[in-house]
Amino acid sequence: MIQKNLVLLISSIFLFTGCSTLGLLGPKKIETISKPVQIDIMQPDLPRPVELTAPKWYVVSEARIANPCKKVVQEDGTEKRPKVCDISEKENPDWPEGYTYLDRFLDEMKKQNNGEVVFVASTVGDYKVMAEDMQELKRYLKQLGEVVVYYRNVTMPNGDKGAGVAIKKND
Amino acid sequence: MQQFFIAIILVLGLSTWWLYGQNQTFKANQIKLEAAVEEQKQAMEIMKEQYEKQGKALMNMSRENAQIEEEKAKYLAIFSRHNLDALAIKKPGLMELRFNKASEAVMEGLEDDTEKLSTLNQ
Repeated sequence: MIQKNLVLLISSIFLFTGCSTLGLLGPKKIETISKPVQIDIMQPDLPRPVELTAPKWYVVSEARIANPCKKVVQEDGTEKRPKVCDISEKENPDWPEGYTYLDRFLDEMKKQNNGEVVFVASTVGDYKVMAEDMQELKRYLKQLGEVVVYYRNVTMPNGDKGAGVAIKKND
Repeated sequence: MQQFFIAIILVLGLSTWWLYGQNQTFKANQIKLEAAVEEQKQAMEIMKEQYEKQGKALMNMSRENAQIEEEKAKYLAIFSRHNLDALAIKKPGLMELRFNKASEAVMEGLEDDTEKLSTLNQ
């Protein structure tokens, strides 16, 4: 009787523990795949380039404008400019003697404004300030452009310039 | 006696089943932890890669910015090297030419810079 019970006991133990050793009810293998996925950040349209027109500057002083004589053909066929000549043989015969840059400027202003003298003047110092300010603006624009390029490069998904990534986890 | 053995079998069976359950939980936990570690490793790799890319881009930007500052200083140095007032009095024609050429160059430079920037998406 005791032997029968012992056999029953041992076989029962094997029966119960066997479930774990056989692996029939073992855990399902969890497949975890981790891979980087690209986040597509929409790149905005960049503003169109600027279209600028350079202003015309007049530098005016009371210095005389050179009004050289017209070139004269020499006997050997070469052209030479005589040092002294009549006013009618000068390059600009309509300019009076001692015609200065200021005179020419005023004449041009009169021509542009129907005989009136109208212009906006600036000093050399102010021109310098404006040129410096323009350079400062240019520097700011260019450096801001570099920041745009930087952000674009670190968020672009393709190639060497791409870095927009995240983790996708599949369980 | 028989009842005693049956009780032992039941106790052993239940405790074995409980241990088996615990074991399964530990196994599952271990698998999950291993997966998490692997995931973290990959995330670290990507972060490292990203950091390197950002570092490179930042370095490029700094270099470009330094060049821009240098360019500006170069332009402004012209003003400190020359006495514009004296030159404008003596040679207004020459100065007028220089002023107008420089203005045109600045405007064209600005147009080129913004053109370059606007075509980045193409």
